[in-house]
Amino acid sequence: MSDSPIIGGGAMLQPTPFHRRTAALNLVNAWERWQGHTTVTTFLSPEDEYFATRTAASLYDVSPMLKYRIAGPDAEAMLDRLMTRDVTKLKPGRALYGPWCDGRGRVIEEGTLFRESAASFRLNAAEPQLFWLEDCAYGFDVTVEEVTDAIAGLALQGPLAKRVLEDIGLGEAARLPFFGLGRFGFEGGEIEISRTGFTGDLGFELWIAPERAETLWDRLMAVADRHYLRPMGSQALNTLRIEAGHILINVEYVGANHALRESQMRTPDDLGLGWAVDPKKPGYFNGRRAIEAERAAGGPRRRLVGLDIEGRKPAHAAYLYAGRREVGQVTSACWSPVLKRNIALATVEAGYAEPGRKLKADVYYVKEVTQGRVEAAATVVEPRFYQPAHRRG
Amino acid sequence: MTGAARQGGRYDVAVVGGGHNGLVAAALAARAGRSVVLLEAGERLGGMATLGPRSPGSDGGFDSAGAAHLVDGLSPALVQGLELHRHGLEFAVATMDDVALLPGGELLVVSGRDAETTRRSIGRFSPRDAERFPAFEARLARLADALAPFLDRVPPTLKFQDWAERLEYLRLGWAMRRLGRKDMRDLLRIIGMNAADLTEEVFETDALKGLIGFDAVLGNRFGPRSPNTVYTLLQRKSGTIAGRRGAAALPKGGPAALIAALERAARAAGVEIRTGARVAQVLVDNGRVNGLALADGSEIDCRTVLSSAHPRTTLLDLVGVRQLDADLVRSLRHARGEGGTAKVWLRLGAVPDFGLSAGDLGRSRLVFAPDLGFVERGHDAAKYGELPDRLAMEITLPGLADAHQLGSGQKPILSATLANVPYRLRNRDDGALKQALIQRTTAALADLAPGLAETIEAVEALTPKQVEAATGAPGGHWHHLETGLDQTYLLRPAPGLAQYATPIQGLWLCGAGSHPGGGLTGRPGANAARAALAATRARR
Repeated sequence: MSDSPIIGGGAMLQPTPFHRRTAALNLVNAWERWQGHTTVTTFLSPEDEYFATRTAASLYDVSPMLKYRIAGPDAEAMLDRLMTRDVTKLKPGRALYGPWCDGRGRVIEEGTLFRESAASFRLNAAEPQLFWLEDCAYGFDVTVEEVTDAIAGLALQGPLAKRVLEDIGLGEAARLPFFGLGRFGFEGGEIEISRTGFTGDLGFELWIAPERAETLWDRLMAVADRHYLRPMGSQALNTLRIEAGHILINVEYVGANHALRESQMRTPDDLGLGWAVDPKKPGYFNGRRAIEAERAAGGPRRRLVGLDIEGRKPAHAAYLYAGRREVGQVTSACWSPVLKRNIALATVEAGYAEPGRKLKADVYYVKEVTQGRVEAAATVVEPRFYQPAHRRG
Repeated sequence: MTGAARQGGRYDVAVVGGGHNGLVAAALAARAGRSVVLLEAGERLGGMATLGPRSPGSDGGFDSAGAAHLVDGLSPALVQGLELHRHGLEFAVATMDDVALLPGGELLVVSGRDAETTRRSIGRFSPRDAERFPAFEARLARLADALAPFLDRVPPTLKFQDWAERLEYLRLGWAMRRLGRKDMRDLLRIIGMNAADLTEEVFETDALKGLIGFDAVLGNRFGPRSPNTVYTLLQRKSGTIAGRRGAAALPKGGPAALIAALERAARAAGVEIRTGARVAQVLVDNGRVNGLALADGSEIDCRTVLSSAHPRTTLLDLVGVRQLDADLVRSLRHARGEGGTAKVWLRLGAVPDFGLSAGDLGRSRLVFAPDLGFVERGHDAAKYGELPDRLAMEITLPGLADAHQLGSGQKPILSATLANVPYRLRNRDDGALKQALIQRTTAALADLAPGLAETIEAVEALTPKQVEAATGAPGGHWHHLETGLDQTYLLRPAPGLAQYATPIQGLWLCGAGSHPGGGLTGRPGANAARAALAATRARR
């Protein structure tokens, strides 16, 4: 038996490598679980954390993100068969985002793939993938290894993120191109930095050995007040990612390997990830035949869309109607502070998914101790609500 | 692809593998007007059926012997459709008798021809069992009859998408319905049961229960107490040979003669047969078959390939995992197919004394499986990778009914098929296994037939590993894949592959790994050919 106490039917959650630092700042003691770890929901004010990200910079601990290293002579070929995008075009020192599917073309997950060298990649995922990756490795000369605990991760996001990096001696990293990746000297050791993130803003993700995580945190926080750099919790992140139109597993869809119901599974086209399926890539990839068959048959039956909803009450889980016909449901909703719009991500029948389509949302909201209900007009829009030019700049 | 690179020729259809299913598929395709080439890697046709004891340096004089010694489910439609009788197929014995051998020389006879003989023989052990046996046989026959039509049909998918598929489900439902409520309930109750429990419900005679239990498991890696062995028993009983359901027949000239008839039928239909032609790769272009690459470097130009090789060989090796979905690769890797059956042949200087006349011996399928525990204990050993001390076996002496099947010097050959021989053996290499098989078989036979040991002139054995090496079928299983309920019909060889089609357009599976499985039935070959021909007709 391990020496960790057993509570509530499971082993005690693990602290992340940044825990001592985040715990000291977590004034409201708001924690949540994320892949066996405790992470911060909010330090004090989600609004403050949100605005820091949109107007200055924030730090978000992404260490619990599952990480897999895939290495060997066939790593490129194996990942090209795994993912719907053309991995053969991914150069060392670059990353790409995309989904991977089962044989029936249903999304297992989507994530970021980092090409660290010609024959070594790292794949980040939200749900355990080792079983699937090992299945996909059969017949390829590769090794698949989970490296989650070997790498601490910190997202530095916001329009001032470059300046923060420059201030701690990582000016070279600040010049990484969008979706670029590199290794840099830092405090007598190494740090890996990628120009990636989940907020839709300018930003970086910093990857470092766990024992050096606190050093990184301290160096960053030492310049925090110069740039209004603030630690951020998951609550603010959720608003940011909805604004960016980033889908979230187990919210917008359930992974094909975990879903109990076929009706909950989604193809890339269902999820608006059709752009990440490369029909011209020469190699076969898992689900290719099924995706091509779905396309040949007229496309997906439903689509993920963005909604612009009248009023200011977030349309959490609202049913959507076209006239009297129920045509879909909201999966994520929020008031967007930066856009001053009431926005949502929703799944609707394909026939009602074209931008400009007017639907009605059945919005329930909390009215002190009762529930209020309002029927709000909802317009279908592209789900990338907030895409500032400086994101890529 | 340039013409120069394709010196292997151009055909409508290429068939991979010259076992009986490959021959059947090739002959049917050619009869439908296609130009057909059949490519066999080895120098001989017949696959496992004629895989004989002619090991290098062997001078055993076993020329006519093959791994198969009886035929028990050859599709009657096929015999007729390919005019196999015109091409030389004859039966020396149309319906073999089953004879259970017991220690001490006692015999229990289940005659294929004469119910009275059976009644009297069982009656010597138990009058009650003698009384019950005809009803039991009739019961199994009724249930097997309900399954039988589906052996010749392409299984539907689980998508319920088109009318032909719905019709197939209706047909399946109707076959069940036609059984009547009582038999349907019976079938549903017993199909997942084990054969030992079923026979113990009905009979008290160990020898009879042992015989039925043995028949339920022979060929698969099961014991009579393994689940769904009633199903495997019914499947065995659902074949028809020489007009009799569930019977076994002895072809004149042995299985080699069946293969020869199929070869003649195929050649007569216009099939070009090439031996020594090893297929190295199924060429795929944009998800479609675009020919075959042979090991000698030549290429065959064709758009339709029927492969009778093991499904894993066909898809994982000849096509390659890079063209396939990882979940399909997983299902194929997980499909169980480690062989559990071996062969021993003895050339005898004299007719052995099993207590039967030479004529009766020739007509009999002798089974040494004196009780259920005997077979089950053998399975217990095998499942832990041990060779059982005492082997359950099926024995024929075909030369005594058909002089063509005598060995050199006109001596009878005893052909023994041994159950519970593990493919994956602990602490023993294949050479030692071979010696142990020979030693344990001859020791058992010496007990059962006094004086037999002294007349042995030559011995040979064939292990699952040798079957694997000689045929390329991984595991060396005579069904390629086990035929338990989880690997049958809609699920054979793996979910999504049950319609003989593969994800590669134009590539079809036509071997024992497909529905309904192994044995000299020709059904996978015929069903696959029909499905492939229908699909190409639709596209034309």
